[in-house]
Amino acid sequence: MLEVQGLVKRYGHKTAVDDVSFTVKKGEIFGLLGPNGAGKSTVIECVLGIKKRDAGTVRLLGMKPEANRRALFKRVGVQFQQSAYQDRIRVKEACVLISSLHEKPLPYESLLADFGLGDKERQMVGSLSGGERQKLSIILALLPDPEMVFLDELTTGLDPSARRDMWQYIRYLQERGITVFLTTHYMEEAQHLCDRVCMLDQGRIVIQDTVPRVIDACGLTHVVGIKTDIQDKSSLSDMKGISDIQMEEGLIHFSMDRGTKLIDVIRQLDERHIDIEELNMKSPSLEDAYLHLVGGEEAAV
Amino acid sequence: MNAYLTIFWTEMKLIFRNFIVVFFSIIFPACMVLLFGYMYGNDPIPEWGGYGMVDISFGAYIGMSICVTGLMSLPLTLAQYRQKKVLKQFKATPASSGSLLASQVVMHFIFTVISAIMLYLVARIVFGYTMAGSFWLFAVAFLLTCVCIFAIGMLIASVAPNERTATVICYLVYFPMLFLSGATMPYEMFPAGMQRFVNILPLTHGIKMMKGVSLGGQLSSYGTEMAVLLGVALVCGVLSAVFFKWE
Repeated sequence: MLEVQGLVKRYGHKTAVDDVSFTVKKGEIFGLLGPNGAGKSTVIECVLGIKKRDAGTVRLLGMKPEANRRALFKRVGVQFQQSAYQDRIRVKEACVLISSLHEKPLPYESLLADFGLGDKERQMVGSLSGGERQKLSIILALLPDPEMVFLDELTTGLDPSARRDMWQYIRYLQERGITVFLTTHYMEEAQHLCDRVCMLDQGRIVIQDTVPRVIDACGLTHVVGIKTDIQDKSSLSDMKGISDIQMEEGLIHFSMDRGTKLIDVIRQLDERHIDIEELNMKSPSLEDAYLHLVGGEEAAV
Repeated sequence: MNAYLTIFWTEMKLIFRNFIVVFFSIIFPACMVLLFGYMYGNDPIPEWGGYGMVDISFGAYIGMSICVTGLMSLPLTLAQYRQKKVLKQFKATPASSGSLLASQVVMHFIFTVISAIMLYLVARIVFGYTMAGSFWLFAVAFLLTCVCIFAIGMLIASVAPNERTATVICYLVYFPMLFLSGATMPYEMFPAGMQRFVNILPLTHGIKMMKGVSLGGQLSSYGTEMAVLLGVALVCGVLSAVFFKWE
């Protein structure tokens, strides 16, 4: 679907995107992740040929974007960051306007209905809620009946429930066979949605792979928490395969070293006659991986 | 074609929802005609060559409308569309990238024509105004003035980095033109030194020509004015084409 090789974009002396390469396969949800200012939007704009790149090659649907702009945007839908609407334009007018720019647009009425905006046609776009406005952006990106959509920071600024709604809609796009390229700085969102992710920091790729493999590559450990009656964590200090023991309000937390099995941990606790009232285990998340990979640097900035 | 029409029609609806623009380009000039018309009447005054107040100022009020659309609404709309990334969103469609710009210019022109017609109707119905000169010559003078003023507006839209700067530039260009070009105060009332100064304002030439032609003058007597208008239009047009940024 999309092949990017050695993409470079400079603004004056600042290199915004530095030697970025990735491929997006048909039908997948691909996430470009990274902190604000990492270069995510710039990558999208260069890939679409809206900004000129300084080096590298881009093949989108087998086309060079800068040479095939019109052909490209018949098959690709785009929603830019904080998408743009004219003042005092109504929902229906925005749909009609964008539809008129495409040769065979999907009927916007059914899209509005699908996304639960069927009764808002007459409403001013400016008076929609943040979630509704983002739904409208997706609808406008879907109007050309695209094979691939680019969604830039679709859920930024939305409340948690509106964000969950967006996730459903993005899944729905995938079910319709549309390839999705999205950017986000919410790792929970990326972990939930993306088949593959590419993490960007200061214009460079930090890592790219499937979500489980990205997490695995960081060598992060599972954290176990137990609720017990013991008052002193020293009774655990000689246990094998665990580290970083901490005690907090009757709860003991420790990390399981890589390769340690939970059953061995429980057996050791049992040998010490430690009563386990409750046990929870937290697997490392994409957010943990993100903080491990770029979090430190971001804090330094 | 369908795309152009839809953009045009949508943008036309949007401009009519913009009260400030409607007020200053249609309601305000009409009110000026009413105000000065009632103050002075439209009776022939010998010192003014036998013309009345409304006869004399009709061309000037049309100039006022052109100024509001060309120097305020057009550049501010485009600056806003750039800042709000409407222009960028258009670049991500198969539509030709100039379609939005073209339809903006055409839409603003039609809007200016509508405001001129409204002004004419007020002058006609309330004060029995009739144009002494040829309607077609006046139309040519009107068109030339629009081309020049719109080109200045496009240049402002091209060089202003954001909406706020565009607003400041628009005010800086708009108000001197409005007050000094003869749109609000008759040019003939200015002292000679002042007249020489305001002659650097393109709108002064547009109004002089529209006024002259509406009072029965021939275009051939306004060679300088036409040259100035076309020259300014050409320079501003080229510069704005060079400097225009989509975002």
